[in-house]
Amino acid sequence: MLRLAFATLRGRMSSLAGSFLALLFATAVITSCGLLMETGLRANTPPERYAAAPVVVAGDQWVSVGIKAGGDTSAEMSEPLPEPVAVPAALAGKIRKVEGVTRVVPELTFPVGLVGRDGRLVGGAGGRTLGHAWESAVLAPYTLRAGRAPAAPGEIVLDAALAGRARLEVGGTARVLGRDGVREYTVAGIAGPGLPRQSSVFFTAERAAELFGRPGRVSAFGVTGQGDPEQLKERIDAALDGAGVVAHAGAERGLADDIQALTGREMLVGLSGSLAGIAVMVAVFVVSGTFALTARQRQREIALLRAIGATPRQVRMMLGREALLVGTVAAALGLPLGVAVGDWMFGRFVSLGLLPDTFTLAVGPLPMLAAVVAGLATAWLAARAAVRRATRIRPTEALGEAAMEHRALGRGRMISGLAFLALGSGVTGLAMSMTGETAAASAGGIVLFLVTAAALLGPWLVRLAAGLVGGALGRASRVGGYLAVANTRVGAKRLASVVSPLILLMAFAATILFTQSTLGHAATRQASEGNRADYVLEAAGPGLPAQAARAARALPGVKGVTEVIETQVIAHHEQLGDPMLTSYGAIGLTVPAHGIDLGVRAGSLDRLDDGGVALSTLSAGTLDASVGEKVRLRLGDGTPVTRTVVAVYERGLGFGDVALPYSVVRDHSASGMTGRLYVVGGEKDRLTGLAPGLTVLDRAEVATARDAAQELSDMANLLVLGMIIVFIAISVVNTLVMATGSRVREFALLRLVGGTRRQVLSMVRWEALLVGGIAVTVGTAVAAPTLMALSYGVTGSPWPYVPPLAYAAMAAATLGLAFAASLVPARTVLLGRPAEQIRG
Amino acid sequence: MTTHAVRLNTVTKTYGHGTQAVHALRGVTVDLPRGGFTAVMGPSGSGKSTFLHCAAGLDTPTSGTVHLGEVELSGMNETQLTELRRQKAGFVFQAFNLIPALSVTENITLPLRLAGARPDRAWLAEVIARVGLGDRTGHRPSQLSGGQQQRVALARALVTRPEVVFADEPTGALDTRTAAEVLGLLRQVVDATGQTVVMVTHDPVAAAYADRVLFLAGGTLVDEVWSASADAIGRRLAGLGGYGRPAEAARC
Repeated sequence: MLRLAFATLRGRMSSLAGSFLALLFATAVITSCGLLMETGLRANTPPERYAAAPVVVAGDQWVSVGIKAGGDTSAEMSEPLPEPVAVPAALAGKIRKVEGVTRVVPELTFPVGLVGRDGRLVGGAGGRTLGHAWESAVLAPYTLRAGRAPAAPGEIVLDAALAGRARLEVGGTARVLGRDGVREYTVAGIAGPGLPRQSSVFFTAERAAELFGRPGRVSAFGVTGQGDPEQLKERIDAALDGAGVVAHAGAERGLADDIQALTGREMLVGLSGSLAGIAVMVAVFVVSGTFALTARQRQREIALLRAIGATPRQVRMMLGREALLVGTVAAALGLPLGVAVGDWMFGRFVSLGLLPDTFTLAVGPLPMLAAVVAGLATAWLAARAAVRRATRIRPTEALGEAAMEHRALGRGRMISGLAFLALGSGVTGLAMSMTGETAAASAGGIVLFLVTAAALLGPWLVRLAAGLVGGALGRASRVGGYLAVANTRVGAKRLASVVSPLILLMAFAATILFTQSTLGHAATRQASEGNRADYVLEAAGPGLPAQAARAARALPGVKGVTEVIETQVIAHHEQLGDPMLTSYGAIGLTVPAHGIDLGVRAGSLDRLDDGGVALSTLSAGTLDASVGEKVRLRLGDGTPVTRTVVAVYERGLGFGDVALPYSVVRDHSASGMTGRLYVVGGEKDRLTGLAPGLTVLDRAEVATARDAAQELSDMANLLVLGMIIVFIAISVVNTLVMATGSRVREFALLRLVGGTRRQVLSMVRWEALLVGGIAVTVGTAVAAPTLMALSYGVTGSPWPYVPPLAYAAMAAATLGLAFAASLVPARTVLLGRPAEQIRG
Repeated sequence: MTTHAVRLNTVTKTYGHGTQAVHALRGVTVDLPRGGFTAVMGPSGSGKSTFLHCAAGLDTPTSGTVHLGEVELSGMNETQLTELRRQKAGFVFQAFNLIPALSVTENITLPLRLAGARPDRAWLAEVIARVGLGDRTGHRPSQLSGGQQQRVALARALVTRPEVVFADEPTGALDTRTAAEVLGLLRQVVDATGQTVVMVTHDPVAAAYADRVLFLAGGTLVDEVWSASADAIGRRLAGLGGYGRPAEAARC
């Protein structure tokens, strides 16, 4: 049978080309997702700050809860923390006692800003300027190039590169912005070498502790010891088990150095994980579609095999093996393509600034193996499913029937189609009655169910459409339209297999783009409606010191100032009886708030400082908490707090889903400085002088800045989902080319009985219009409930934001694709000589 | 008014160039008079199909001229040829004659629709009655037997009142009895309406229905017989040589 499969494969190259292409791209997409995921799990950034310390002990940047996953096995759920987790300074003693440890150096790290002569901040390497105690300079190691170590609180040692940029020399006076404002220091020394991705400012130990702002705690410990660093790390981990710290050795030390690397890894894993899920789903959908089409085109051949004595089982085996052969070749070519695509996407992420440029793409065998296995399994299953029907036909009837359309459509097909439709509608209904992210998260499932339903019910949809517009079309075009409608009515199944991927394209693209536009629009609207300030002061660099806010309040004409820090918190809650962690964007603000209106619906922000917290309607829904109830949160640096809900507000998308008192967020952030000031009243010129590195934005400028930030985050999503859309578009073209290319004899006959090329093309054009029209209509109908559920869950209104131009462009693209992919192969077919083509 | 329906004058047809050139027709001159039923026979590769394609305006000769009725075909482009075929030629093929999506009547009137003409009701009814499909007009091709499908194809070929009906192995896919019915129908059309029919076939029995049988070999007309029996035709054919491979001959 394998030999027969090989033999038919050779003779069938052209008809299998479609399945082959679908599989090739499926393998490529899955490979690229796998590579990104592996990179997310393994990528490291080279250690800089801790290059001279074999082992680094730092805080655990993950919050975890155990989930009982049936029986004794327990899974764990983790969320990363956005701020560096400080560790108790007292652990130093414990670490010193670990066998082999020779030296333990406590390290303090805090963002600072060096103010240049022009009053602006001097840019640090890699955009970061960090303060440390001179005692920990050895960890890099930094050594003095000039001058001496700082001996008094008013003295510092500067990184050589930073000093060079600021044109400072030993003995000069430097102004440094820190937690307690801009202070003047004498440059006691210059240390080298500069690090490539961060600049350093060294203080005395006492001054550094003040600026670090968390007494009794340090950022990390650099540990020197004897023997293999890996073994040393393991001994330290064992000794410190349960202290909430993690020891790093080797390449991993870079993660302790740069928290951005950690969030980058997390983002990659999350993004590629969800992408891989969608990719596999789409791959199964389009590959089974092309195999079904191939099987239909080969019915005559299958019938012949049956007639000369092949059992249904043998035919299935043959086609299954043939699919495996096609899949193997496709996978072999898809892998390098996938690596190329993965590499390109990775490069885009880096250039968008979502990943540190020190990351490299991990090209390991595991994702490739997974892609090959997934591709082959899809091919095999799709081929088996596609021929199931063909092999059930009795050989005698098969030969006569092969060229014709099966008249009766399977009852099972209709039943399963209706079941999927019911499932999709049910989930939509359920999602509308739920609140919070659960509703938003179910959107993906709805699209899946409804697209599957549309694919199964495709033939009926095509007939319905032909019935609805057929008469008008036949009158509008006496030849092309008439023939197109006749073909549509009778060849409903053939057209349905062409329509399905187009529906998927339209529904998927609409869901993705309009999900973003809905969320983005709601966020923008909420942010601009909630912004009642005349000016917003944005900090560049580490932040705005407390003095800036005080000074702003004292300015003439200023009626009110609100200090704001943006961060993230992690909420503990339960879902279906299991402990859950959900990460929320959060805002810390001073109350009473001026110039910022969160849109409080219940309770009041007045008692926020008194152990309170305010939740957006979204997070209140998910956490199932109302005013007066308590919620358990982890602050940015992992500190657990339990606070009472004092208010529920509606502008969560615009400002963050959790609002905490300013001081609470500040004390648990790395810089301890304000991110932003909302100012009511005042004058722009005077506000500008309040602090170095300050941007004063009026309301319009705030909106513009917001849009730019929104665009950046949209880009990342579009990049990933764009790949899926391209994949679907390729399969659409593939399917249409296959379907049109197989109509050689029909076109030839039409021409022989007197049809001109133009008339045949007109028929193809009308068919494409019909197919494209169905796809746009049904695709819209599939996307609509999905978007409504999402919009309702997130914004409370069931009406998604759909820019008319974007929708029109999408519909036009779908129609255009249907046209191009039908007309181009039709033209090619029409170049041939009909008298020869009709002989088959 | 001319007396010929089709006239070929020193027609040659060459495919390919140089050493790989295939000379399908090497100077064929023949007049096919109106109202005649002509069969074209010959071994595989003799140029039968090329002869039919050139005569019907489906293909253009390398040299020489072809007249379909009074119209000279050389120099016409594809669209002009198509429109000419619409008016002056009807076709019946071995298989795949009908559009599956259309009913019997719709298939028959398809050439008229393509030409943008309205069917002549009386003539349509007569054509349908002539091929004996009066009770099947609403059926689709998939509901008809092979012989019935060929009869629909014949009706379609006749409906435009063409100068010539070209039939390419019209009975190649039919059993003997059904074949005889279809051939009888062709004969009857010639006798009753004076329709000109040109048929390519490999079957001496089919050729025996014709008034005149042309024999092609190596791209030239080598022989012809008038009103001969199947046996006589078979002997002539065997005399041409290269006819010992019936499986291959069936393809040409």
